[in-house]
Amino acid sequence: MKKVVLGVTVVIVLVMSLFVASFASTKEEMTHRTITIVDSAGRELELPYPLERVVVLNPPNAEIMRALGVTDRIVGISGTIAKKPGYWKDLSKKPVMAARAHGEPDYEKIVELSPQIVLTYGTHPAVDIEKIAKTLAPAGIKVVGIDCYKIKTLFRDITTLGTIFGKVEPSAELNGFFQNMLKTVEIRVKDLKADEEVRVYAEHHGKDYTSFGPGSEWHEMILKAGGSNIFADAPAPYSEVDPEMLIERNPEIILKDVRRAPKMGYGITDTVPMDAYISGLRERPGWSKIDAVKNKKIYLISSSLGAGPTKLITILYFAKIFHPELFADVDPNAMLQEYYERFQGVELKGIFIYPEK
Amino acid sequence: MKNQVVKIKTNNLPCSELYSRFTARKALFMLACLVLLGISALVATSLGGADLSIKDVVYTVIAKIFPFSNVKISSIASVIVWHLRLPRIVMGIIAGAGLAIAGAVMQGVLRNPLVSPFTVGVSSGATLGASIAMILGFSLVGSETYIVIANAFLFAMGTTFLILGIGRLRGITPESFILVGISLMYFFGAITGFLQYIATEGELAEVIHWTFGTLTGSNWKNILIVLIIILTCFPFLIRYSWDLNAMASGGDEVATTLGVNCGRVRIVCMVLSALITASIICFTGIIGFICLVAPHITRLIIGGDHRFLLPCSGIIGAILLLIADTIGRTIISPIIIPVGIVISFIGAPFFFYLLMTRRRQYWQ
Repeated sequence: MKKVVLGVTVVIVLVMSLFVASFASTKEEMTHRTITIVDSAGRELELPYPLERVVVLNPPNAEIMRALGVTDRIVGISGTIAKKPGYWKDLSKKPVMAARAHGEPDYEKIVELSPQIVLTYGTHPAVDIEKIAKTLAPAGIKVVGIDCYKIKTLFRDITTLGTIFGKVEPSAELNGFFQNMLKTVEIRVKDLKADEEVRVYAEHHGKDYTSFGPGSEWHEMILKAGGSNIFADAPAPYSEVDPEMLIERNPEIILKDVRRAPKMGYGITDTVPMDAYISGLRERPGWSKIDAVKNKKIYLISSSLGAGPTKLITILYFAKIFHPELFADVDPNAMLQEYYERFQGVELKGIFIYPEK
Repeated sequence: MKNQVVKIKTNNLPCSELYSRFTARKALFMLACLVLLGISALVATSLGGADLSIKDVVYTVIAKIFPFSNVKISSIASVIVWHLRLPRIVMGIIAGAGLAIAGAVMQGVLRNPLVSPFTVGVSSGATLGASIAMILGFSLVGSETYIVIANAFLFAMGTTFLILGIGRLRGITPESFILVGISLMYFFGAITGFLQYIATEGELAEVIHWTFGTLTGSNWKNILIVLIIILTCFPFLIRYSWDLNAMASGGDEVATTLGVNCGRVRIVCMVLSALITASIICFTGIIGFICLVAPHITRLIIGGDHRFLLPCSGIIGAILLLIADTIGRTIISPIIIPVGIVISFIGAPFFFYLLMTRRRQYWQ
């Protein structure tokens, strides 16, 4: 009898453990799902879900990930992020997988680290996403190209990142923040007559007299802010323009994209080099005849402000510079501060646009 | 094989008479080129993006030269002509002349028709210096605004001394300088390439725009600096022109028997022509083809006597660069096509034309 009881007990235990085991395995299948998305480069990708181990190479994506509260999933970065420890306090110590956000990453290091995906630019001219993807494919690492720096695709890019990280609500919140700003500008400049549009000359940070033209992000930003680019007839996004025509077309506002010199941007508050730079611009031959120079309307814009997702706040700054009367109640500085503190968790310090008004 | 007899028509004139006719022809050609340069400059001054008539331009210049004359001009016209158009034209003339002279000297001193400051690595050095300033933000000297100019100049000169230093170890022969120069060109090109590879899009655009040399941004101060350097170097080069003739036509052995210190002439001429090149391209960026083609064009027309070759190359170089820049700044308004690009566009076909139509065995 005892043997029978023992036998039955064993059988029951076995059956139960099988049941539990099979239950557990179905649960496992449920959590290791995949998700299909289309990235900025138009590539359809099936990604593991949830994503726990991610290498992110380009700062705009890292910025949006921080806004979505998922930086803890980042296991590797690029040198571009690592060299700004002030702004990237939470990330700069992570292992570096590429010298820069552009070019090619260190494939072996990435395979060794074995993240689930690598996030980089999708359509950036200096990033060959297909090549990177093909190289990492044998290791089973997916490469996702999200731009997060172009006005046209920013909202969609933020939504995509929200989807793949399971943070749809925060991504909608961030999109709402940016969209509000863009709508405010659009509504107010919509009814401007052609003659009320402000003539703007915007100079690339590269060489003197290299103007932004159609096809560049800055050209779009100027138009969105209710300005008219005096070199809208230039045949290329960046081209050297005739200094004579610049004087003749007499811009009312001059915007200078600043990258290397004078030092501007996060953590930099010394305005002396900026003042010196502006006086240098004022002394360019013939510029004393330009309205913008006569009326002291030369502005320096830090490249870091105009390049990443903050370019939407830059549009707001531009709109206020172009049409101060229409945007008297709008404070772009407050918006920038909100973006930094609410979405990035970083204290806003430094001068991004000069002179501030 | 029958011995070919070269017949020289002497018309029974004495040798000295023949020689002076021979040189007079060259002097006349030089004068004609100067007149052509003057005309080109006038035409270039009257063309431009701003809507000014020739009368406006002429009045502006008159008013500036004779301040007490009673000519009425608008202040905008004055600024455009005096501070934008004329500096550009003058810089074009000076840069064209300087680069052509530097090219002619290097070709002579290294006895090689393919040599120019650009093929022996001086410009690669300048590009590397500028790239380091633009991508890494590092400079040997200079404040932020001038680091690109300072770096380009110093690296170009540094390259020259490197070529001379390494070249000397193998004897001061043309081959050693050329080979060292070419390998340095590739070496610096590789470093620049690497820097460009890791550069951001913005930095890359900056470097690439720099390598398309342009005359935009020329001002009277830059012009003065370049002019002083050229005017200081040129008399030395002219002084060496007999030595250059001996070296170019007879080689080092013949020149040495004629009492030429080949090594010293070679080193001094290399340094001076590199100095001229560096002082120009640090302001303008890379303007390449002119130093190769202007001396060749001149040789095709008047031959290889350096006493005439150097000044004439200078004038031809000035004319070519001026025409190229005028085309570049007027053809697709409102943008300016950098002169570094245009010069090869118009220089190369012109050179082909001369090469095909002239029968003279002009080199050697």
